[in-house]
Amino acid sequence: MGFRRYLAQKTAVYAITFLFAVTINWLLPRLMPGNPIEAMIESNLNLGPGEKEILIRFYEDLYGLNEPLWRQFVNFWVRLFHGDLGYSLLYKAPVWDLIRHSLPYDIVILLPAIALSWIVGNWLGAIAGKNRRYDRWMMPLFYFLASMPYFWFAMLLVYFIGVKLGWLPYQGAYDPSLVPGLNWEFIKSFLSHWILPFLSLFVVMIGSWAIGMRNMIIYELEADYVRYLEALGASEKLMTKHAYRNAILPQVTGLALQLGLMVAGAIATEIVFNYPGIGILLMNAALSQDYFLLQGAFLMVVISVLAANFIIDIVYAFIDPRVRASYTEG
Amino acid sequence: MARESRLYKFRLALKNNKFRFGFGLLLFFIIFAIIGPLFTPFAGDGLYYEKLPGSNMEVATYSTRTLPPMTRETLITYSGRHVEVLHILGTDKLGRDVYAQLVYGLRTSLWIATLAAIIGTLLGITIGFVAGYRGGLTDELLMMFVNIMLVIPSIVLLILVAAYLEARSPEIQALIIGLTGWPWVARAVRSQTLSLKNREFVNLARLAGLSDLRIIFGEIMPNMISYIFMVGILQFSGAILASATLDFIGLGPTTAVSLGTILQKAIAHNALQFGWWWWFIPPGLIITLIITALFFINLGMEEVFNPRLRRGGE
Amino acid sequence: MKRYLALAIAVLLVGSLGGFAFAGAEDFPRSETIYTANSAPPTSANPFQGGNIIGIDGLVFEPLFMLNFMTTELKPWLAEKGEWVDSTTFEVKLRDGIKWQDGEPLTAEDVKFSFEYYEKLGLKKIEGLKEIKVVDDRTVQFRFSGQPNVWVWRSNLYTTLIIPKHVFENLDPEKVKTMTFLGDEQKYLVGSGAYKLKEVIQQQKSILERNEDWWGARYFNKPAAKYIIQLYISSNDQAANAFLKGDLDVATYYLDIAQLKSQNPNIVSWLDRPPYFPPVVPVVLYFNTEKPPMNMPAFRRAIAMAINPEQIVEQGPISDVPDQTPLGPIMENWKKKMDAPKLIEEYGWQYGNLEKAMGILDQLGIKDTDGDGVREYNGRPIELHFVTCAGCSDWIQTGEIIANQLKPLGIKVVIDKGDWTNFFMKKLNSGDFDLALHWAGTFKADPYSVYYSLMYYNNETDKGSANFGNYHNERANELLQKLSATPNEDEQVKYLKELTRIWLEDVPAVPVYTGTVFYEANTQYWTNWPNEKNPYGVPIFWPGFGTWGTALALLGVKPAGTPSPTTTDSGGSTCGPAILVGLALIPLALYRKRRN
Repeated sequence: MGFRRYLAQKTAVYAITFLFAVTINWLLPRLMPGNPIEAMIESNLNLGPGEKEILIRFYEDLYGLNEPLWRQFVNFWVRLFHGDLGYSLLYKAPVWDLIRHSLPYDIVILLPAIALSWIVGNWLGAIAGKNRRYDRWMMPLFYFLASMPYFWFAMLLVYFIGVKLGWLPYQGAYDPSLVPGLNWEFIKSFLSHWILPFLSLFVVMIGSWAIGMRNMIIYELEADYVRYLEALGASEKLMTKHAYRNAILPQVTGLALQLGLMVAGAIATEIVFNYPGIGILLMNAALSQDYFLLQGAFLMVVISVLAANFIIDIVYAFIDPRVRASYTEG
Repeated sequence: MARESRLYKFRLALKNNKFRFGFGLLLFFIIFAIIGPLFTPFAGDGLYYEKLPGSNMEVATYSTRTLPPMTRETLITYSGRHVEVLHILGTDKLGRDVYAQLVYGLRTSLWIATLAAIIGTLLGITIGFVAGYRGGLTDELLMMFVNIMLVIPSIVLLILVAAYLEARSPEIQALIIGLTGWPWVARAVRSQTLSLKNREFVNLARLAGLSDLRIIFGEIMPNMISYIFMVGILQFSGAILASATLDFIGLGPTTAVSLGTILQKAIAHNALQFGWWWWFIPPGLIITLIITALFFINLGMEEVFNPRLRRGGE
Repeated sequence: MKRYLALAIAVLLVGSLGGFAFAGAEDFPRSETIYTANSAPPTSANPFQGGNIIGIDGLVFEPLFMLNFMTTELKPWLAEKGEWVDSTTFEVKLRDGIKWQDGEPLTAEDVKFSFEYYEKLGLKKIEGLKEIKVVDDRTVQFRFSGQPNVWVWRSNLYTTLIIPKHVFENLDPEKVKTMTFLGDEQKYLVGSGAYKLKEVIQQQKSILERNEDWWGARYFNKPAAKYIIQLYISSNDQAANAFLKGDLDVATYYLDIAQLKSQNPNIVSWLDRPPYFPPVVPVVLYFNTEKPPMNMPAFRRAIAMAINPEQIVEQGPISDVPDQTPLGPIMENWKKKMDAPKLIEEYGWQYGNLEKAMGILDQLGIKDTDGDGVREYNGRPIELHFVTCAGCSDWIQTGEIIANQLKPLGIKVVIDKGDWTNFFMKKLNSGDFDLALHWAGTFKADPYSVYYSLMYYNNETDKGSANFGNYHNERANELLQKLSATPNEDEQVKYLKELTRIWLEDVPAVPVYTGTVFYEANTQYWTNWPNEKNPYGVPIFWPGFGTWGTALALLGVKPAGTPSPTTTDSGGSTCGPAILVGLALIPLALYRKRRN
């Protein structure tokens, strides 16, 4: 009974958040001054007399921008429920197609980078938390890694490993002469192009996960219950196990949020490596005020972040006794 | 929770090696940003300016392009004067001194981060306090707002504001970063407030009939001051990173040079391919070191204020 | 627990790899493939509202005439010839033996259908066109009511792509507007051209494959490259790298061409001397001609004289030295016919003549009375605001040099920077500026369009698209009107001469340097790239410029290392006049460039 109410309450909250976020998302670009269509046409060098007006009318009709705002808003929701995210001003293609085709490239870089750095970072952090000798020299390293702007580290990788040493390619997702296919040559090329962008994110991310884990472990090892266990003469392994279990919870939350944000891509990394992900689409949409693409992309981000949060809330309801207590008691 | 003890703690912090290291490093960069221009004849945009005789107008001279660090060069100025100059960190593709840009860029970046940290921390604390202390519907509504803010990527706001403005100034960038950086502060402060709210001393104060404001500022706030300071530091480092990222994707300030815009220019002019390392390594390194310094300050303070984290002998 | 976690991650990793739609593998022999690139990914092959695939216009679908933007001449393409048979009728005769890629013949019906289809889409509105009459299979007449603007019509000849009636007649124009012509819709891409769209790998590359059965092989050369692959390279940095490695054969990116040539000697561009890049048209310094003292032609002239373009070219952006007219090197033919050097000598000004410039200002009574080095006008020191966009480093740099050059003249210039759309263009369009640089008015394919966009002014809304300074001269309006109506070249030259004289005397704006477009070509696999000495094609490798001559360039390259037969051009006669109509939407590429 308690859980059902908890679930209903959470669902309602997330539904409202979703409506609100999507509405804001729709409204923000439209509050902007300046007409994106005019801007697009003005950036076009080759126009003749009278041509500009013809084109402006053409595009306003095409995007329904000459309708009243409320009508556009209704249309927006109607289309949304038909799975239509609109048509990109800049790329002249349906927004959903654009997102669909670039998302895999982000996932293929970000998912392993986030997941592996999470594992490695937590592992290193836990070691540092337990072992003071390691901690002395690992901790500054973690902090240095976590401090690096990840695009700067990417630039260093490109310069030293790509340009100076020439060991690995650093441009695009695979060799330009290939077409994606399930054959050894493509996979080889894909993997060799994948290493540097992956590393650039992986290495930097390790730092912050490790710091989080280290601090949690130290905190937990000094906690009263561990002291109590110690007094009872429990083995060190048991104490570490308990400390680890408690310390990992916030890290799981962090992981879920990171995975939720994955849809936004890694804009700066994609710029450095010319990787064909969603981040560059977003950046260009922003620079040229392509509202439909912006909205579509942000909608995806909002949905995935909300979903990640929601899942975490539900999971916690099961594994974290503190949360369980909060809804069973009141 | 008397005054002496806090002073004592500050002295303790100064004895903490991590704090000392971080603080020293940060201080070094701040001093560098202040006195750095003394070592170069170039202005903030990396050009050499010369006053025209008989007027108060200044004329700029460009240097030779892409000179490596520590190159001496004789500039011929507009009025035909020969000036020998030293390019400490070389010049970029447009013939501008990199060292000068770096120093002034550092100033901009620190200024942006300070402003953004103040804005973000103040907003987060206020909202977190109110939500945590009031509870009930206020809490629900505010937290919903916080959650919404957390999912709206800051880039949307930046574009919006950028579009309203004719030019993006560092202050505007700071405002945007501050306005988007507060939600997690609010969350954290709220939970702190929640835990403090039900402590005995607060209950006592309430029984004594003190007003909410008195309780917040007189009882709860002092217990959180160190925490707030640490939050502020994290906001500061977050703001430096956020501003560098925004600059890098081309949404940086249009009126001043900053560390991120130097990196963006370097990439745009193929510095990686042509091996002009002095153009892109120093700015990134400075950002990294500043953030490292802040982390160490934070860590040192945490050890002082939260003795559980303190490890023997430090 | 740990093992499960590891397993789950491994599954995720493999799963994310599987997220790609795998197509069959295929090899493109390097020696038979031209690699080009664009800064936007290929996402649309829509031939009407400018997709972003180079060659959809020109290589897949073809126009009646091709423009060669570098010489501003028209080259008969699908049309054998086209001429004004009387003052209101333009007749086009198609070449013999033209076929669609599906084997159907291309007839006059298709031409009529195409022009009407563009109107139905709302993309063209040809003023005064009364009727399109199919005379026979190869002849079509365009009949106008009243006097047509011959220059506008000229532009329609190369911007209208001819599409197959038998494919498009069942396609609703409303639907076509948002079609990408990719995937299932690719079947509608039946052109008449030398290449077919083979495949688009979404957002990464597009592959054009040679049409072995091209009608044009009879008239022109059979194209040398079997494949033309357009890569998606978003940054200049990455493009430089691709050129150094030889992965890219030709493209339009802002690169340090001198540095690139020194690292890879195979790289060529338009000129074999600096600036290497093709100089096309001048960038002009606008005056807000409604604001005193800039409303005085003599004052504008003094500023023009104080400017020294040679210093700008030396210290500023990659550029070449301009002359005083707004007509760039691409209009050399017209300038010869007008005898432009003589006009300049007679009516023009001399650049870099500070002394004379000072004399003019003194004569106007604009003097420095308080000795602070700045001249006063009506008691107030002259401070001019030069507006530009914050990302336009070329223009900022030029502005700074100009500010330096005007200082000794006693004029203070303040540089204001801001966003492109919301600051710069807004200020230009609302007249809230003193000085500004732009080349929108000169980047045109014929001299009429240049003068029209720079000098025509009827009222605030009805004016030349690049007349930012609101220059207004009734005589110029009249001349433009006359020029628009005559297909007779002698008369055209007469009016152009007079317009040039007004330009030189009135100085509505000052050419400060000849802007270049960016062009890099690699001779390792392909040679005979167009250049200054052999300007058979246009070195602008942006989508939307196909019929402006990019197609001509891609059709003219030859494989490196093999003896190449000489080109047998069927000789392009210049057809009637016109104006640029650019359906080609190249927003991203231009946008980027300006922001660099």
